[in-house]
Parts: sequence; C-alpha cells; structure tokens
Amino acid sequence: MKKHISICLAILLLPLTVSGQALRGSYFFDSSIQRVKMNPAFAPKTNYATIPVLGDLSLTVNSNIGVSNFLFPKGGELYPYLNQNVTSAEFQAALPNHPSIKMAMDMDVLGAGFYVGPKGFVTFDVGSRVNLRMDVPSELFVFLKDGMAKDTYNFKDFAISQDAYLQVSGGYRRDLGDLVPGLTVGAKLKLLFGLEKVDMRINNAQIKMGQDKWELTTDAEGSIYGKGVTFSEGQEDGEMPSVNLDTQNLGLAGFGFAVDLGAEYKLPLDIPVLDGINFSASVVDLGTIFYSDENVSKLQSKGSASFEGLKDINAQFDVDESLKKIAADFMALANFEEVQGVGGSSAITPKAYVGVEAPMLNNLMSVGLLYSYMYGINDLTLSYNLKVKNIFNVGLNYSMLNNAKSMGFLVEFIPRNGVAIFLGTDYLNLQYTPQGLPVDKLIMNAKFGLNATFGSKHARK
Amino acid sequence: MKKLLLHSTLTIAAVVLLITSCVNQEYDLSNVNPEITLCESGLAFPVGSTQKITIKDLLSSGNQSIFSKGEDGTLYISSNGTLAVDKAIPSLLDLSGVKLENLTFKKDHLYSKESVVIPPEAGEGEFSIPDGVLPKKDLETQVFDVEFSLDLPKEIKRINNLVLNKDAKVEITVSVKDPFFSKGTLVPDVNVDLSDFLQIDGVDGAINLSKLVLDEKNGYKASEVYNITGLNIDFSEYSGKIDIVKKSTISGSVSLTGAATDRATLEKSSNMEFDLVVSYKDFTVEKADVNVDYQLNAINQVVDLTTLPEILRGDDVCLDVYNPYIVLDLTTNTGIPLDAILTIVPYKGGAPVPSFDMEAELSIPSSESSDKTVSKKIWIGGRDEGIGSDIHFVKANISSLLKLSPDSVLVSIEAGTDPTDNSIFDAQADYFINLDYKLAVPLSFGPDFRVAVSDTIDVSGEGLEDILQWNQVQLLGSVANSLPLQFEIQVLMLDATGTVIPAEQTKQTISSCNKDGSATVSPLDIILAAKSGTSLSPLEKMKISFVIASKGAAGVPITDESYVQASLSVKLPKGITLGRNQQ
Repeated sequence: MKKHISICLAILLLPLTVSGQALRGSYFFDSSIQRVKMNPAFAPKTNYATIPVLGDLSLTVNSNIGVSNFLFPKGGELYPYLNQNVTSAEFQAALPNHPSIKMAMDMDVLGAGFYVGPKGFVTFDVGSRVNLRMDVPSELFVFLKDGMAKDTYNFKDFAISQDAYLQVSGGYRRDLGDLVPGLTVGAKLKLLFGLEKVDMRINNAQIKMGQDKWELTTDAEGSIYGKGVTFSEGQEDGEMPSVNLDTQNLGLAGFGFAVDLGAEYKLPLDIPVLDGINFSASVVDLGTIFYSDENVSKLQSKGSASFEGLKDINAQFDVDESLKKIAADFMALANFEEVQGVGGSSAITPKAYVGVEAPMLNNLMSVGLLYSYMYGINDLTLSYNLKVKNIFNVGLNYSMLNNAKSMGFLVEFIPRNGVAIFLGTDYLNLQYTPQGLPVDKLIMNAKFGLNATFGSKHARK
Repeated sequence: MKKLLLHSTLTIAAVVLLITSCVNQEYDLSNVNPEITLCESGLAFPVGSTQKITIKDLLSSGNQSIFSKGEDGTLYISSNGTLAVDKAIPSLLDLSGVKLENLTFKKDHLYSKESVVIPPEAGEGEFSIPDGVLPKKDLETQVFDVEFSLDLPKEIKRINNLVLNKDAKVEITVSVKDPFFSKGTLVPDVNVDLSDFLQIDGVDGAINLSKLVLDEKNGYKASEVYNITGLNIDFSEYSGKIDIVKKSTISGSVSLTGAATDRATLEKSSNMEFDLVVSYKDFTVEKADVNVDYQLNAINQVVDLTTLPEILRGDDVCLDVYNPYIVLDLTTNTGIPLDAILTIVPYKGGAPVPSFDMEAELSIPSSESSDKTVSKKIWIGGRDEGIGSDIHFVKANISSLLKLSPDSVLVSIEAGTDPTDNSIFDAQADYFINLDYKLAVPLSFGPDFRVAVSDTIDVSGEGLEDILQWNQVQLLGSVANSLPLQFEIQVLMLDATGTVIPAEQTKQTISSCNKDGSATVSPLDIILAAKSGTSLSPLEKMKISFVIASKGAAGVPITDESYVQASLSVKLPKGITLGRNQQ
C-alpha cells in the first residue's frame, strides 16, 4: 500500500527547526565564522567546528506583504481591508502587484574550517538547503474586496514551489599578499544532491461572473522532481492529486554542482582614524542541479466549467443531486492528467555580495556598505561594526533598498578556544504591532548558533 | 578599555531602545474592527430556472384525474359521482291479486235412456239408435255473474288500461258424464259469451263450441284453449278498489248423431250429464296504464368538494369561473314520467349558506317498457352555448354558488309524478333510476376570481436576522406567464407575535398572459432587507403569500399548454457584511 505523504506540508514544518542564510550583519566582522558563507575569500580568526544542529539555527522569511497591506488605521480605529471604511483604491495602492512569501532554510549537519599554513584556510561542510516560495495573485484579494465591480478576474501565477538538496562543499581561501598585497581570494566547490523539488502552479484561473452565468477556466500544472516520489491523480472527480512516497525506491532526484567565488582586497591608508578601505566581492551558490526525465512526475489540468443555475426545477426536483453534479463539473477542473515529465536543469538560488568597509581605530570598529542580491531582491546595507579584540563583535546595520527598510544587529562572541556564540538579525523591523508582528513587509532573519573554536597560530594575522 | 565598554554599552542600549520604540499602537491587532464586507460592489449568481409549470402542477397534489379537457382545449376541474336513487316503485302496484272465478255449467239428464228402445234383434249386442230418437237438445240459457276485483294503491288515481299477461288464457272444457251410448258423436253447439269483459283472440262475441266434438274416441270430453288478448273493462269508471261484476252467458244446444249402444251400457248408465267448465289460466296483469299521484322519497346527498385542489378552497378564495355547469346523466326504465326539483345548498365550515343555494326544475322521462331504457342528459348552467341539441338545458346560477368556494354541497332531489300524465307499470319489472352527475369547473376565470395562499416558515435560530439586518438579498429574474392569472408575491418578515417587521420592497406582481393567451414576461425583483433604522432581531418567521387573480385576462381559458416558468438569480448588491453586531 503506497504511503501518501504530503511532502509540501512536511517541508513547511521545517522552518521551525532549521537554519537560514548567513547574516549580512556579520559580513564586515573579520573574526566571524558566519561570514565565511558569504565570501569564500573570508576566514575567521580561529579554527572551528560547527556543533551539529546547533551550529546555525534560524528562520528567514522574505515577503513583500505585511500587516500594513491589510489593516488600515483611521480615526483611532484599525480597519481590515474588507471593511467599508477602506476604499478599494486605497487597498489596491497598498497591495503589491505580485504578493509573495519566500523562505529559505539551511541546516549545517557538519562543518569545519581550519588554517593550513598562514595563508590558506580550508572549509568543509555538509548541510541541507531548502527553499520555499508562495505567490498569490493580487486579484484574489481584489475579488474578495470588490466582488462584481468587474465581470472577469484573472488569477495568474498562483504558485507554490519548493526544493531541497544536500550540499557537500569544500572551500579554500588563499592570501595572495605575496602577489598583490592585501588580496585574498577564495573558492568553494559544492556538490549538490537534489532530494526533491515540487512546483505547483495555477498559470491562470479566469472567473467570469454574471447574474445568469458563472464560468471558471483553469490552467494548472504540477511537477515533482524526485526518485521514489511521484504524484498520483485523484481517484475521484475533483480529488486533488497526492504525493506518493515509495520508501523502497527513495533516492536522489538529481545531481549538480555549484561554486562560490570571492575575493577581498585591503587597501591600507595612512589616514588618522581610518585604517584603510577593504573591498570585497563574491558570488555564492552559482550552480545548478540536473534532473533526469525518469525522476520527474508532471500533472496538468486545463478546462472550464460553467454554472447557469439549476435547470428544470420542479416539485420533485432533487436539489442535492443537481448540486452534486454541478460540484462535480467544477471539481473536474481539478482533474489532473499525468503528462510526460521533462527533466533538465534547475538553477539554485544564487547570491552576490559586494562590500566596502572602512575599518577605524586599528580595526576596533568599522563602517561598511554592503550590496547584496538574493532571492531576486537587491539590498544595500550600511553597518556599524564594533570589534573587540576579535573576540566580541557587536554590529548595527540598516538595509535601505529592501521593502522593509529595516535595521539589524549582530552580537557575536568568538573565543579563541571554546564555544563561539552568535545572535543576530538582518531585519529588525522599525515598526511592530503590540503583538510583535512587523507592521511593514514581513521580512525576518533571526539566527543563533554555536560553534566550537580551536584557535590557530595563523589566525591572528 | 573604557572606550570599548562605552561603545559596547551604547550599541547594546541603542538596540534595546530601538526595539522598544518600534511598537506602533495604531496596529494593535486586539482592536481590529470586526466588521468586514466581502465583495462590496456586489455579488450575483444564478439560481436556475424552473420547468414550465402548468395549471395542473399548481392545482394538483398528484390527482390528475380531476382534470379534463373540453373540445376547445379548455381545462376543466371536474367532480363526478352518482346520486343514489331508491329503486322506483317496486311495490307501487301489486297486481297479483286479480281474482276471477271459474264458470261451471251443468245440464243434467241431457238425454233420457228410456227414449231408447232396444230392438229385439239387438240382443246383447250393439245396436244403432236412430237419429230422431235422441234429437237436438236445447240448453237453457244461463247467465253467470263474473266477479273481477282488484285492490289499487292509493297513489293510483285512475286506471286507463290493464294489460294481461300474454299467456293469459281461457280454457273451456265440455264433457258428458255417464253417456248411455257406446258410440255416437255429440256436437255441442254451445255459445259461451265472455265478451262482456274479455277479449278473446280470434273470437268476436261469443265462443261457439261446436268444433269440440265429443265421441267415444275422446271419451266424450274435449277442451279448447283461447288466448285472452285483453279486458273489455272501462276502468275509468273505477277508483280505489275495483270490484266489477260482469255477465257471462252460456246458451246453445247439443246434438247427437250416429249413436249406438248395447243393452248392458244402457242398463248401466243412469244420468247423462253435460258439463261445461270455463277456467282461466295465467290470468295476471302484466302492465297497467295508470295515472299516478306519487312522490318519491326525497334524495339527499352530500357531494364532497374537498376533492377539489386545496388552493381552490378556503376562506380567502373567490372561485369566479366562467360557465361552470353540472351535467346530469339520467338513465331509467321506469314507465313513470317524473317532475323533479333539484336543490343545491352550499356548505362552508359545516354550516349551510342558504343565500347561495340554487334550484332547478327537471323532468325525468319515462320508458315505454321496462325492458327499454331511456336516457336524458340535463345540462344545468348559466349558458347553453355549444351544448348539443339532444341535451336538455336548465338555466341555473352555479357561478354564484362556486364563488363561495364551498366545502361541500347538499344535493336534494324531490321528484313526483304528474297525476295527469299516463304511466305504464310492468308488474314484473325491476325498475331503476340512475343519476350520474358531473360538476365541471372550467379553468376560465371571471373578473372576481381570487385565490390567496400563504405559507409561513419558521426561521428562528437560523441567524437570518443577523444576515438580513446588515445585508440586502435581492431575488432577480423573470417569470414567463401564459396563464390568465396575475400573481402577487409578497414576502413578509414576522416577529414571534406575528407582527410584520418593516422591511424593504418585498412585493412583486407577475402579470397575467396577454388576451390571446400568449405569455408575458415579468421581471422579478424582490429585496429582502430591513428598512433603515429597523431592527430585525425579533425575526421569527417569514410569510410568503401569493394572491392569484384573473386581472386583465378574465375569460381567457387555461389549456394544457398554459404555463408559468421562472428564471431566478440571487444578488447581494452590497456584498456580504459580517461581524457588525460584534461591535
């Protein structure tokens, strides 16, 4: 008997237990273990080993919608967007064109970094990466608000996608100061083992409403990439397809690779207070996973149904039977047919960082400006970094371009030998409801982690 | 170190201050206004369309047998039945008691044997008697009284004629007892005159018996049977008990020829007697032509009109229809013509409404004989247009009676004879009168036709008042109507005491068909919502009323093809508002 497991649902639960991306607030801290993930040219001041599971705990959510898109304060009262005191124009002005929520979850199972000589630093880690994205068409909210202000609504690109892969990586950072003083470069090679990928979307659902007729046209599809993981069509009309997990044949859905490339250049300056200017740039997770056709299961559904009311009603009319038939016609739209799945490559989410830092007072503190690109969002982060003996890091940052325009902080304790601990977030929303929800866009990135440090005679340089 | 500590403290403090100053009280989720309106520009969806609903569907609860169709296609609601009539006149005339005595004529010593001389040469043997020895013997004329009596019922005022049983006969037997001759032919030239009271087939006047020859071959006895064809009695002179004495005369002579005898026979005989007996066989009355003064037992029968559709009964109904009628289908073999008064009294609520009763005079025909039936159709109604020439029309205002929409009607028939009319009775007959009735109500309504029906639905506990208090529900659509009936639909919202709660427009009129019977299309637009400023919180019931009238289409008949068909949709013109009462 096949086991039917809702993988999407299970994966949705993962954010509660797994970690996220590296903190941008840690980018300019020389001793930070976190920042190694953002630029392979970086190296902490100590050897380290990630404590499994506890090494990096976080949740990252990035959305372009928040409380302020749906609740409107007026005259001392707070009105939901569906309240008549909120006009449709007001609501639509506040709603983005493509509301979406993205989540990313990483878990470092194993990891370590250590110096090989004074100029080299090797990193190794094994972890899982999970990305989740949900797009909701804004027309859906407009329909609930306006109803039949217009007779046709198109709900386009209603999608849920999720992918998970294992990553085994090895990196090397090299100080090229012999060749170009102040220059370090780094690279990391990642072997990617695709676990599964799910992509469910309604390309378009058009609803035409009239007093005499309602018509629904849908175009939907779903793909699942996975070995031993397949869709099964609903057995009855309207029954949604389910995901089957064949535990006997579980395996990798695909295989790929990615590279991280980075460089840092420290330009010393003989200026009072200012120690110099540090430039850095990196590209991370540049790669793809290849899926074979046999590991792809695809379903498609296209069709239309209309409702013109019950026909030929009389005293003996069986309302229940007619409604069942009508419901069946509409539910038949949810009848998915299996089509030939096509494999191919699927790029993983790349990230890019470009930073400029001005260390001061013998690197006691610095001010940095970091450009980052991830999940399709550009951001510019200005940070103030306080570095105490390379052991205690405290940072404040402000991200300017993202929708949240939020502040972040980092507190990090990295003893030479012992347990390093960090706590921070890149998005400290400037406005919260009394209940703790961000008023503006829901962007959060909170991290906490523990690493064991072992010191290094090369590290303090 | 101090600088370091200062910087660290300031940084951390900044973070803490930042966090604590970011709470925006304007977005306190515990103060969110709970009222939401979904689809505030409106939401509409089709409900559907009905089948073509015919008048049979509207009126019938499954009993299609009450409908019939006229020749012009008009539908009728009809109620049939049979009025129980006592078997008529079974014992009115008991004519079995007709008595008629036999007549007996005797002649002793018809011939004396002393007249016969035995020739000596005869010895013991047979010898002839010369004809002159025993000459023709004249018989004394004898007149008999024949008594004819009959008891008549008091209802029979006059007998015009009695018809005897066709097998009625008179038998005349002549015989000679103790003849003193052994041979010889005796011819009774005797006349029996029964013509004073009987008609004999083939006999005019007296019956002559000369062909009844008596001889030794028939043992000197012979008889003849004569059919009686009638009575020669004028009954008109008589009434009450009929006791008639008629005369019957017997006269004539007897002659003897070829006689022969012998000594022994001669000596043996003593008195040669001539006997004549008149007897009557099957002398019964078959029919009587009489004048009768007779009243049948009154026939009272309640005709239940609850078989008519429920919608056409009730206190709020005015059943104004064009030309309703009652057809009486009468079949009888009775020979008595009867005049009858038909009275119909409507009953409503168990009590009669005499001011609306109806009376009609009928005549029930008579059959010429009991083995033949006569039929008569009597049409009782307001107009005789279109009825056949073989149907007897009786004008009566049934429309007024039906307007009352009675629960039942008491049908009374009082019938009796006209003493001046002749009636034929057959004593052996089994008489009957069958009176079938059919009340036909054409579905062609007069200007006063009106039916009001309503249904009250308990909606307490359904939360409807919450929905309708803050939302408008609009029933839209169209109704195609080819019935000659106007429908007024009203939806009322009631509190627990039945008081109407003020509400928005809840009344709708569906026009009747055009005068040519073609369908009209009426828009449907009923709004269910509270009037501004009115609370619906006591809403307990909803009353849906229909008033059906024939406005504008009076007289247009309803046929099998007439229908009403609705197409409905529901609109929420201002969306759905929820949560307002939670404020």
